[in-house]
Amino acid sequence: MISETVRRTSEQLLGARGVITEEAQLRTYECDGLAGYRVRPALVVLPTTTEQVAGVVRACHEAGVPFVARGSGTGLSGGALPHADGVLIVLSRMRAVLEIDLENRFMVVEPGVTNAAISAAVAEHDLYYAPDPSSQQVCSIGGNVAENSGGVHCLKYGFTTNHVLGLEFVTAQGEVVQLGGPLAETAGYDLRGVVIGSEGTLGIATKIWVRLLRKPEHVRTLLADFATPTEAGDAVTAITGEGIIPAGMEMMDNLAMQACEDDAHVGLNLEAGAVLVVEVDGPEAQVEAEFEAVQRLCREAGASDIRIAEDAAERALIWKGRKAAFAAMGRLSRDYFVQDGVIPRTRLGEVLEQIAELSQESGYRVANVFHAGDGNLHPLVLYDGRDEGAADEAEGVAIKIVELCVEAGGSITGEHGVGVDKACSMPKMFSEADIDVMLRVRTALDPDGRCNPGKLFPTPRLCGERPGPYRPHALEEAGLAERL
Amino acid sequence: MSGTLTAVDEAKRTERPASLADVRDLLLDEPGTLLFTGSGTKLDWGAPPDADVDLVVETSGLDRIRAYDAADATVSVEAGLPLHHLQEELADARQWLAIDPPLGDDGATVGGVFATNDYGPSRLSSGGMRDLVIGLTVLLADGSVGRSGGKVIKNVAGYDLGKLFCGSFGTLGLITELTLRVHPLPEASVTVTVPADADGATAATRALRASTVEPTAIDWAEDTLWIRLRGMRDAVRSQAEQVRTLLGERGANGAQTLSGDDEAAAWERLVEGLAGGQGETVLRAATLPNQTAKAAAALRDAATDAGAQAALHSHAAVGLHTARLYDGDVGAHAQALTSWRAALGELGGWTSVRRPLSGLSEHVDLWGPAPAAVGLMRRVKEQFDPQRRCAPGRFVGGI
Repeated sequence: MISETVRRTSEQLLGARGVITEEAQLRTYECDGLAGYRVRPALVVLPTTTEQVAGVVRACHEAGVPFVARGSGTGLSGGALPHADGVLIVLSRMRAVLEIDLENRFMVVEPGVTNAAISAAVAEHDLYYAPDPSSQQVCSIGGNVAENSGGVHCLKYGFTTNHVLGLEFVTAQGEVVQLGGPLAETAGYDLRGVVIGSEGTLGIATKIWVRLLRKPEHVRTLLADFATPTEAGDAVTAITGEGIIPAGMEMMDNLAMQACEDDAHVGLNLEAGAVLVVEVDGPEAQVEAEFEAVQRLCREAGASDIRIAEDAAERALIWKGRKAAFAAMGRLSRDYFVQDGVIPRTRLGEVLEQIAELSQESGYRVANVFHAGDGNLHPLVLYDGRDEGAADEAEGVAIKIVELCVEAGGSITGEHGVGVDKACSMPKMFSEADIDVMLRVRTALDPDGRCNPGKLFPTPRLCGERPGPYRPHALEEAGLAERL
Repeated sequence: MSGTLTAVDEAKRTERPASLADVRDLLLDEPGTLLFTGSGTKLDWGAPPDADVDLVVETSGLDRIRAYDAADATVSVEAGLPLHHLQEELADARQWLAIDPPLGDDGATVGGVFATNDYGPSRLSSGGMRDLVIGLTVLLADGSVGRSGGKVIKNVAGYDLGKLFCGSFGTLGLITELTLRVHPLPEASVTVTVPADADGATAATRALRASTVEPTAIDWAEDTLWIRLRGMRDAVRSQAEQVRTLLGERGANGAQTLSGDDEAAAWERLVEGLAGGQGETVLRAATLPNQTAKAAAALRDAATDAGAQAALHSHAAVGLHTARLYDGDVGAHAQALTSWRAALGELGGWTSVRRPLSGLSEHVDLWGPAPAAVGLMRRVKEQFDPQRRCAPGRFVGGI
C-alpha cells in the first residue's frame, strides 16, 4: 500500500487527472518495452511541470517511498519497470519545446518530447539532433538521457552524452538544480555526464538542453550483399582500416533480412547470407571519395552485389527496414530475447561463429542485427513461449551470447542499458570493487536508494550470490591481489 | 611562483611510483594530504591547496601503452604517458587522439590533459577528453581501485566515471589508466585565414556554421579568423574554395590559404599561446557563440580600466575562449578578472582562472562563483574522498 501522504500530496499537486490509483489503469503501466518483467506500481502520477515532479519526489523522500521515472516506456532493459510499493512518475505529459536557439544551435525541451520531434522542430532550418535510436518516433528524450541512447548514426556522431549539454534535474530529495546548460563547458564536476546513462537511479531530468547539428551537404547509402556475415565483417574492418568513419554501418544476417523484407519491403536479396548497409555523409567531395572507397572495399571483401540508394526516399526506405528489424521479428517467431552485447569489431567473425555454434547446439534460431561499425550486436534468440521450458532455455542462450561478448573484451550492453534485465550480468564485466566505486556516486546523490531501486546494480535479492565468470581486476593485473 | 607550485615545493616528499601496486601502497601508508601530478605542466592551474601537502605523487613513472589496437581504434594507456609520445605511436598507424591542447612539447601527459579538461582548436570537431575517454581506472585515497567503461566505443554498462573525473583536478582520486577512442589521421590539412575584428569574426563564424562546410576548427586570434579544414586532400581543397567564396561574398578582404608545414607551424604557435607565458594570467571562459564579440569588447574594457593588457583567443564556433592578461601587476589582473567576470555573467557566460599570476588567489576567487550544483558536487567529493586528502581547495567552491 502506498503511503497515504504521498497519494494525498500527489493529488493536491497534480489534481485528480494527474494521479492514477485505479487497479485496471495501473496495470497499463506495469511494464516497459521489456514485457517479460511486470510489476504493478502502487501509484502512477502524470506531472506537467517541474514543480509537480519535485513535489512528488519530496513527498516520496519524506515518506521513504521509492519512485521510478518513465518516459514513453520503450526501454528494452526494464529500466522503467515500476516498483510495487512505489510511485511511477510518467513524464510523457511534459512535452513542450521551451526554446530553440538557431544561431547557437541548441534547443531546450521537456523530457516527454520524442526524439524524432526534436529534429522535426528544426528540420526547416537544416538542423537536426544526431542520436537516432530505432524507436525514435516514440521514445522520449528523457528516456534517451536516462539510457544514454545511441542509434544507427552514433558511430560517427556519438551518443546522447555527446549531444546533451545540460539538464534541469530533480534530485532524490526533491531539490531542483541545473547541471550544465547551453554553454559548451561549465565549471565543476561534470555531473550531467554522470547522470546521463545512470538509468534513472540518481534523479529525474525535467528539462534538457540538446545540441543541434547542421544537416550534412551530401549523403550516400549503399546495400552490399555478402555470402556470410563473416565476409561482411571483413568489409567493415577494411572500411574502418582505410580511415573512413561512416555515418552508419549496419549488418543483418539472412534470418533478420527475411523478417525485415516481410515487413518493410526494402527489396533485400534474400539469397544473400548477410547484407551490409553503409552510409557516408559530409561535404560532397569527401563523401564521393569515401563512397568510392567503400564500394571498392566491399567488392574486395567479396560483395556479390551492391545496390546504391538513388534518392532520399530510397535511403529512407532502407533505414526504415533496418529500424523495423525488431518489430518485424514477430513475423518469424512468436517470442524472442534480444541482446545488446558489444565486442571489439575486429572480433566480429569469430564471435559470430560462436553464436552460430550456440544456436546449433541449443536448437534455437538466432537472428543477428548489428551496428557493425561499433561492434554492437543485437542477436535475437527466437522461441515459442507456449513450449514448456523454451523461454528459460532461450534465455540461457541469450545470456551465453552476452558472456561471449564480455570474454571477447566487450560489454554486456551497448545501448539498451542494464536495467533489471542485465543487473545480474554486471559482475561479469565489473568487479565488486569497481561497482563499489560507482556506488559512491549513488550514495552521494541518493543515499537512501529511493531512485529507481533494483536497477543497474546487482543485488543479492535479485541475483543471489552467484559470481560471474573470472575476469582479472586491475589490481590483480598489477600483481597486487590474487583471486584463488 | 603561484600557490600550488609553492605547495609542491614545500611538500614533505615526492614519489614517482612505477606501478599501480606501488602507488596504492604509497597512498595506504600516507595518511596526510595528497597532490597528484603528471609532468607538472599545469601544476599552477586552478586554486592552490588549502593545506600543506604531505605527499606529491608524480605519474611520470606510469607511462606505458597497455594495449593499442589500431583496427578497433582504441588504445589503453597509463595516465603518465606524455601525449606527444602517444600521438607519435598512433601516427605510425595513421591515427591520432583527436585533441590538440597546449604544452604537448613540454611533456603534458594524457592523464593531466584529462584531469584538467584541457583542449585546443579541435574541440569543435572532436569534442574534449570527456568525449574521447571510453574507459577509466582510478585509485581513491583510501586505496580503492575502480574501473568504469571498458575497451569498446559503445558501452552503457554502469556509471560513466570518465565524465566525473574529467576536469576534476585530482580532487576525487588518482587517474591511473585511460582507454581512449582514436581517430584516423586526416590525409590533408588546409587553413583559410582572413583578417577580422571581433564583430566580423563572430558574424563570419555564424555564416560558416550555417553553410555545409565542416571545418575542424574556427578560431579567432590575433585579429584573424582561422578556419581549418582537414580530411581527404581533394575534399579539403574544395572546401577551402567554398570558404573563400563565402568570405568573399560577405565582403571580407585579404583571405589567404595556408597548407603544408606553414599551416602546421601556424597552429602550433596558436595552440602554445593558449598556455600563456611568464607574467601572464590565463583565463578560460565560455559564452554562447554569438556573444563572442561582446565578450571580446568587455575583456578589452576590463583590462584597460585595470591598467593591464589582454589578448583573446576564441574557439568561436563553440563559444569557448582563452584570455591572457599581461602587463600590469597582480592587483590589475585581479581587477580586470573581476570586471570581465561580471560582464560575462551578464551575457550568461563565466570565466575562471587557469593559470594565475603569482599571488592572484589572494585578491580574487580564481574559480569564481560556484555553480548551482556545487552542493551535489560537495556530496560527491565527500563520498570519494571523505577525509579531504586529495588536493583540498584546488577546485571550484573550495572543493
